[in-house]
Amino acid sequence: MKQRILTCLLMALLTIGATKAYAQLPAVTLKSMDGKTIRTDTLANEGRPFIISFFATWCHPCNRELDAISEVYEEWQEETGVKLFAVSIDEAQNINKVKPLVNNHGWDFDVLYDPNSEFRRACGIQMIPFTILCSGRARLCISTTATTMATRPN
Amino acid sequence: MKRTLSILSISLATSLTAMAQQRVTLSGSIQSDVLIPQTDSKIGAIKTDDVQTNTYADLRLQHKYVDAGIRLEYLDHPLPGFEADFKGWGVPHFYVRGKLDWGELTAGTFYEQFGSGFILRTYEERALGIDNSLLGARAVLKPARGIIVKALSGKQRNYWKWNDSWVSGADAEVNLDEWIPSLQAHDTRLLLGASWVNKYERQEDIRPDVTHRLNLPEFTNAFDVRASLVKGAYNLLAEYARKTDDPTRANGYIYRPGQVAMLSASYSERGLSVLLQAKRSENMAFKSRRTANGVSSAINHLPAFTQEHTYALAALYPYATQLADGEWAYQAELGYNFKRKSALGGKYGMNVKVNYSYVRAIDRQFADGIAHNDLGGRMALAGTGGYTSSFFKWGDQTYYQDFDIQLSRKFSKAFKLNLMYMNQRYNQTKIENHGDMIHSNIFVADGKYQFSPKTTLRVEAQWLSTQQDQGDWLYGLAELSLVPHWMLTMSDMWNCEQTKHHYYQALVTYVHGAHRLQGGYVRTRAGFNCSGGVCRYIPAQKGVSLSYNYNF
Repeated sequence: MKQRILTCLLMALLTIGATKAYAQLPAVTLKSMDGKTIRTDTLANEGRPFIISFFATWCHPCNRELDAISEVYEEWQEETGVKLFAVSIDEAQNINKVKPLVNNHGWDFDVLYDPNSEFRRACGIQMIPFTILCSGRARLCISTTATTMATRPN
Repeated sequence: MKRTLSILSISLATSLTAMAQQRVTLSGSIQSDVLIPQTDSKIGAIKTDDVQTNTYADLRLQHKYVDAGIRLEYLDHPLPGFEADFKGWGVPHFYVRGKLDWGELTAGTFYEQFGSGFILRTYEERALGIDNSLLGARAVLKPARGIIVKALSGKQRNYWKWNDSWVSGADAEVNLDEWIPSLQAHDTRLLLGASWVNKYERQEDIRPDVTHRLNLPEFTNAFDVRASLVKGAYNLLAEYARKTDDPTRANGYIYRPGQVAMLSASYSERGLSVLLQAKRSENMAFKSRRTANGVSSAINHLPAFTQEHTYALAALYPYATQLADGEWAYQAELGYNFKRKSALGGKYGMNVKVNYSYVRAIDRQFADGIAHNDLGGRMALAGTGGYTSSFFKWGDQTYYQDFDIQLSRKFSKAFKLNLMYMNQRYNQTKIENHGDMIHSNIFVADGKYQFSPKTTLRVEAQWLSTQQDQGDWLYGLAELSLVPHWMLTMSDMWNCEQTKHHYYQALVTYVHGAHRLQGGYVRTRAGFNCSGGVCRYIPAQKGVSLSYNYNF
């Protein structure tokens, strides 16, 4: 009986996955680096597309990725008006390390703190770096891995 | 019967998908890590099963007013290094959440953290096999601007069942800058928070000797207060937590309160940052089952107060927080960016980061006059106050020390180089219960060259030099990225002094949208896999490795 339930659940999952390409953001309350409280389902960019990138201070590939995006960020913003929200999953006792890292690297992104990985977990993400691309008006999002993003040509 | 169930599933999925396009969103993820193991007696890798896998599948439903979710876990033939209780399969995570603008109510299993996690942190860390979620109910209220109040109660997950004890708690946070206009006017944000957690666990028969039985407290209370101040480039965080008497296996059944105090200050502006922080913790292992061993049943979490390293040899000897025995821990970090076109910055600028971490034993004068290294699992001082401790005084042992300097510089549009030097002292006796103090010097060079917009090569070379344990190690890695879909990785970790063993990996990764598939051949050493100060011993492994991740 357990095996039948498992089979059905997996088939349901795969069928849904195959037909559903995008989702809306879950509602989780986070703090921004400048101390504001933000609900993730209200993240927006005035009708323009936006990107959510998960990182941590100890994650070298994440930092490389955000460095690479930072180099072309101004260009992307001029061309598409895109905005990037960088979500740190550093644990609460290391939260004071995030702002120094961001300033050290000269990143101009909006940074949010997710110290218990609540937003990461709600998005079903296990590995970082991970990126979510969201459309403007419809605010529908697709997931993609970030490792190839910053080296992707325009 | 099978065909009927299959048709029903597909119909349900299709209907829900149709609904999803109107009002409800469905999303989920699949993660599966597989090892087809081989025996390799030279490194101690033993094949115990034909195929081993940790597989997870999540499904989430979101609506404006209601969320729901389930997670299926298949761990019946788990990857190496997990204890016997870990084995099993089922649906251990399920919830329904009702939400409005001013609050939400969750019923089912949930994760939560109060403050920095000193008295409550339930979370999931799959690589370590940690999932200490609570099964019960949680309410979150936002009664006014800048105020959040939480209350919860439930039983904690313990592998495939839930502990008998009850964990309950409440938390309140106030952002004072929302109520005091002058704070906002001066670009100042001030947050005050307070939490309470209670554990109720029935009496049980635990005896320090044949003639005595411990009178165990059924209620254990823990409190936490915190303040966070952000003003311009300055950040200050102060937090204190205290726990009442909580005799458990982890602390050798002593009757002594626990406490932790942390102070963290940083100054950070573009190009310059300074961080100083200190923490003292004592007797803060907080478990929902008195007799629990290992990583299970932890109510709180204190991560390692040291620099978290991810370069292979820098992470060879990772620090694990001494929750029960306590520690003094300090960290200092300085970051500076030499500007472009300056003498040291060169054409593109250069980034420098210096970090120093130090962890020391706290002062403890034991009731029996013996200098106990580790009370956990022992009955030597069971039923007594255990020890006395002077708050600001250090104990005799250094647990960990780490000084590292990292340079990061771009030499051309195509080439970037990271260099790191690290000096480390690692008390293997205290942290791993064997060996001695390991002194090592570690050198890392990490270079990245972009041949074209679609082709990038990254190469790492590392050297760990030490006179202790297994002596010197060398590590090399080459990673070729072929945008947008492929990545090829080869690495080798070589113990060049004592065993002469090579621990190699050859992996191919394919990425397409939200699908990620990785396959390869691995030969890995036995060691500790650590994340956030919690470690799991992983035995040596050899075989074909496969990994699949998908988000939708």
